[in-house]
Amino acid sequence: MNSTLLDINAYSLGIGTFDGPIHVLKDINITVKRGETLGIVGESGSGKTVLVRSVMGIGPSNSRVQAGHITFDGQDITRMNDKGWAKIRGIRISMIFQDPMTYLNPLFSIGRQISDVIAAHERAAGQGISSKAMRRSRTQELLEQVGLPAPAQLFDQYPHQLSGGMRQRVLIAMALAGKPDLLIADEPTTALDVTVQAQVLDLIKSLVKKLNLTVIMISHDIGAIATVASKCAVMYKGEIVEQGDTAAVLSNPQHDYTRQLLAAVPDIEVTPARLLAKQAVQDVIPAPQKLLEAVNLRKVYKTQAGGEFAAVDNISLSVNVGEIFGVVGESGSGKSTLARMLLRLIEPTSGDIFFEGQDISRLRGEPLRQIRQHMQFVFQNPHSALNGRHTIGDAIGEPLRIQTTMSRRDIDVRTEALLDIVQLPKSFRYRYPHELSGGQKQRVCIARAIALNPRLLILDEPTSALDISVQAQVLNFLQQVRKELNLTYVFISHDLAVIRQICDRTIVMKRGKIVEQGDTEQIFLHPAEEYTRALIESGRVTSRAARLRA
Amino acid sequence: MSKLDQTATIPASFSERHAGRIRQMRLYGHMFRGSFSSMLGLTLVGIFLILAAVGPWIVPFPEDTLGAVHMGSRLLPPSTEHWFGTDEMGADIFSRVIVGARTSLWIGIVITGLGALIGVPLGIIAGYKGGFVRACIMRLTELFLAVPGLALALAIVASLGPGLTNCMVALAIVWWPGYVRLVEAKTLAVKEELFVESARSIGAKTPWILWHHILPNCMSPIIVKMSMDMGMAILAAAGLGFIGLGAPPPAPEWGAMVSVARSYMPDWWWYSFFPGAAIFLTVLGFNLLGDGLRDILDPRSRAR
Repeated sequence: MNSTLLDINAYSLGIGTFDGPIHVLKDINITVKRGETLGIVGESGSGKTVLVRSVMGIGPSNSRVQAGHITFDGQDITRMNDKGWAKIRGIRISMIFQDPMTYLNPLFSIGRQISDVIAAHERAAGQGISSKAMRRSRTQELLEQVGLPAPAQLFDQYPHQLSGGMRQRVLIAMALAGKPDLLIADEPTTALDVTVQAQVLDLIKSLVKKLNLTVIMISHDIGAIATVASKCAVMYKGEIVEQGDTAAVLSNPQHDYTRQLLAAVPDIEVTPARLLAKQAVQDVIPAPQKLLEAVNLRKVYKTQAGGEFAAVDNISLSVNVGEIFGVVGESGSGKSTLARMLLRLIEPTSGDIFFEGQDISRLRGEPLRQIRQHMQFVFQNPHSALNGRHTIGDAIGEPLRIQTTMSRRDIDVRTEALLDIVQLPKSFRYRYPHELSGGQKQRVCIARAIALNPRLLILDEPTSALDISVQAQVLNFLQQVRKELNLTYVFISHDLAVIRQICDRTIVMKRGKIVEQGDTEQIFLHPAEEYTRALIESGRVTSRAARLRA
Repeated sequence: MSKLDQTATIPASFSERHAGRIRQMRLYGHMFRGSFSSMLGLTLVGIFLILAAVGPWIVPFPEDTLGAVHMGSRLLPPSTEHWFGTDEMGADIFSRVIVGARTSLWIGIVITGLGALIGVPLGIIAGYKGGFVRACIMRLTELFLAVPGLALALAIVASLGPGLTNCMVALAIVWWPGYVRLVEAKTLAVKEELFVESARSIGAKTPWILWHHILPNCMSPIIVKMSMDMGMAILAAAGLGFIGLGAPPPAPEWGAMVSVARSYMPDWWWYSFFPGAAIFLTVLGFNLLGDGLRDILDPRSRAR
């Protein structure tokens, strides 16, 4: 029962690139016993995906094993050929991936895709392929196993008809089709909403028990790992810096990096320091002054069927000078549409927007361009928000070149000053975006946004594309900048812990409508609506898992 | 914010400032050198360009390219004196082929240049504006694409009258629609990128966005298409020259030379063979170069 299933012994892997070989994995030692769940934590670029892909034999194309070997169930699989892999891959080891949509073929029905996998396994196993009806019933059995309702119906549906969480379940069903000994999950919940994340984690947990599966799960989210895994390993720059029982590692981290990682997880339970500080000086707060106001804002899209779909439905809100205004909701709740409408990047179907008392919803051309100096946007994904053909200096200087008549020299000076503010070295002026990490790029985006001294910043999930450790830095930094430059933020996020940490007032959105609004603490401590309660509860699951042991 | 750092740091050296660029170029060079066909294309195009640049000064019989007649040495086979033989006027074919490179280069540059000059702005505008403007531009483009290019060019030259300039104008007129198609498709993809929205949110005007954001990101496919089109344009111009609508006879144009040589086949084979080979090698060179450029510039086909 407790025999060793997977043994990675002193494994080192290098990738040959133009700049010479890069050592992606250094001296990895991992042992996974049957029935165990191992979580691998690390930030992006730490080599965790490369590691599990090498276990599957689908490592990067020009990689070379430099030392060590991987043993699976007593068999050395380090340098196996394709023929050998055909008997293992997908059958004894299977994998689920981060983004469920891109791994399902949109042209085939769910049932067809899973049955095909079953047929392929039977063919590889050398037995005859079972009949269509048998495969159908086996598929439905699998779909039921992963907790999908009405499998008979689902069989004939197509991937686009399912939600993200359901698709991830389908992928898990597909991975289970070959009755694998080892299941590898590569960030299985990262692309999902909080509520769905919790469900998928529960599912993995229950499958481990029911089917006696062995699971290796990788994630950058310690909370997710802590919920599922009994053992965990922390990876940093291609090395395992720490491993052991999850509880032990989390409660008593030995390595500095683990400690940093744990400290960076925002905690949903903690009363933010901001509030404690505020209570002390409560009586000196001046009467709030409205900076941005939206009245009955609506955006209606026409669907292909000819119907209408209100992405944002009659939303009214007002943001006061100097506050951080939170907008929270699941994906598809209309947060981003709302944010873009406030900046007039998308035209509202109806409703008015006031900025400092001026109605900007009808402005066009030059006056609109002028008003944009005062309100800026920071996008969710810093990787695509910067033009890859411009240097960082060009990117930060661009707003100045467009909106002011400053000379080239003055712009250069100001650009360097801005780089200073966002705590990046001045030499970054000459770099290109692809040379920077995600956190650095987001800093550049912020520098670009504050270049014109705006009054209002709208931040659309500014940290969700970043690692947790980087997220903490960026959040701290955002608060710092706000104090220095006297900014007002509209902060959009799906992460409740983050919202609670930094926002003064919050609205909760669902399907284009405001479900609940008010003081952030009030909402968290006494949620009035069922939906808000569910949202907070699911946010708690992972947050608590990471904390409980701390 | 007020404490602006007035002392801008001393500008770094050129290689420091452009370290990223230089690395990128070295990577491109490395990948390009790894491919035999790309290098072959580059070599052929290189030779072609050198000949076009210095041709008139290195050929053994420069006066032959201007229409000199040596009745004593008509239709001589290749020899040490006349490497490629002589034509029916006694002119040295080697000299005429070499000098013809200049004409062909000029033709290629003018046609692809004019084509891109008309097509790229139209394509960017069509892709970015969308709606009615796009419909107009694209329908017009399709109108041109519906008629076979060479046939349309033929009709245009016939109405303008034969001659090298008219030939180039006609080909440029049928050449631009390809660029509109290419650039429109690329623009549609690029304009959805966040950085375009980001530029809009800082108050950039449309021309600024088109020039600074859309165009640079459309450049790689344009460069690839232009390098491939160079060959095709030379071929098309040679085709028009072959049916007598290109450069008038004494001018050393490859298509026209093959055309005259047609009546001397097959006994005086060298007369048509060498100009034909020149067309072949040039077109091949540009096509291989274009393929090679596509391989290194198109990220999808790139194996990091």
